[in-house]
Amino acid sequence: MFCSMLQKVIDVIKRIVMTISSTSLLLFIYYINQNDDKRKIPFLSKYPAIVSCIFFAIVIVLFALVSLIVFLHFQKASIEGNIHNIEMVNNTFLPTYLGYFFVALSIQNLHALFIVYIIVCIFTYPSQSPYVNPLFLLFGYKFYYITTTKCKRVLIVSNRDKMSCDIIFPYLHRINSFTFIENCKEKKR
Amino acid sequence: MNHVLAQVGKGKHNLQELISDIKIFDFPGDLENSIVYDPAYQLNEDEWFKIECFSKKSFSLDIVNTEYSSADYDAYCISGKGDEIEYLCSYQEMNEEKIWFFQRVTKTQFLKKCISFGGDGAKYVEGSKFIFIKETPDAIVLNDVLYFKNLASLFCIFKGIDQLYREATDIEVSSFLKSSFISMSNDYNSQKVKTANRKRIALAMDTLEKYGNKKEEIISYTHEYCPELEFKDNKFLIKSELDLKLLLWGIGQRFYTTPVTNEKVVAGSITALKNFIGKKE
Repeated sequence: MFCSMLQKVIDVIKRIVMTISSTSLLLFIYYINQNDDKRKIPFLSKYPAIVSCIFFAIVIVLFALVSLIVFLHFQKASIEGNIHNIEMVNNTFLPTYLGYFFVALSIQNLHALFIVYIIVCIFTYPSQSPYVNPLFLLFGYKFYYITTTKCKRVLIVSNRDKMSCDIIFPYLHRINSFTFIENCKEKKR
Repeated sequence: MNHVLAQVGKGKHNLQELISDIKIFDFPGDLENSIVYDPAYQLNEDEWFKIECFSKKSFSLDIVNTEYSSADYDAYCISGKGDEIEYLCSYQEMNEEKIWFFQRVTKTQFLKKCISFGGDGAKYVEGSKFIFIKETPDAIVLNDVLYFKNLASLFCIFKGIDQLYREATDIEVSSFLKSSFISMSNDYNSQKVKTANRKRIALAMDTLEKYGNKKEEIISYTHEYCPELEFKDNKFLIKSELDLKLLLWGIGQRFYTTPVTNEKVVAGSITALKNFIGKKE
């Protein structure tokens, strides 16, 4: 009983971390849109505001990196064939993230930000979108949808350079039933 | 990559991925000593039965005929009990070959109490769950050939494999049911005879050979103990599995009356008394 509870808690934490990580752009854009006094983080107040901005950016990027590393230690899996179709996932999330820009730029105060952010998280959390985190692109990971011969579409996050038609994935990590991640440069047994 | 799958729950195909990148079975060295399945043959210790063209059989599993894909399976999660696992299935890549190993998991192999040995001595562990992995798997599928030692352990894994046993014993069963002291009703025929009775028929045919002239005595003995078994014109009328079972018990001389309480009983299993009397010390 405890094991299954623990597993559910871990699943929830995974999703929350991913949701925050993939929507953190909204927070960042709001933050840099503020005027100088509000921008300075308390312990960096003697430096110019730009330093605080950079600091915030680094925190967000590090957060994404940590979640990426954690994913690469999940349960192992492999897909060695039966791939019917492969396509890149570019067009679907780009409008969403551009949307965050515009939303964040038009928020006037902290209260509005809080409410908007919670609403965005509520919609992002249950869907597949948290795993399509554009920050992973910074680390060389791209997103692909593959369709198996049993007509199931799964998301693969991978840092491969080339994707050919008869690709196979012998060394993956399972995030959930529909999402897998691959690191080509990982040391394999 | 190697994977271990578990069939969760009886009935419909519900394989879930248990662990990956691990090898739980060793490749047996004696797999070349394999012969085509024959229920009458007694296997030696280092021999296996085989069934070729496995993918074309009705009881074949699709998973062994296609490339492995984790996308086809969910990850196993312990939802309270782990003992709903019916069988384990281990996909291993060894020496450039793709081999599937199967092991039936029964209640006894699902251990709830263990003594574990570690760095700080022996510990009694209760409440945890372990599945005992056998040295030799129940079945191996390699290059479209199914290897196994005991067909009965595969009934749960490959649905419909008991058909093989039936087909192999059909001639024997049909000829037994045509014996002079048996008459069949319309509802029951040799196709409907189930595995348990088929095994008893094999023994019964041997026993009848030994009786020779004493068949009449056996017939009247069976009739005496089973009055409910219809007996007309010196023939038993067999209408069901139960009727056949009673007749086969009669042939095996399993019925007796207890000396003190005068109760009519049937012996579940028998062996010669001399097997119990040990060597002289």
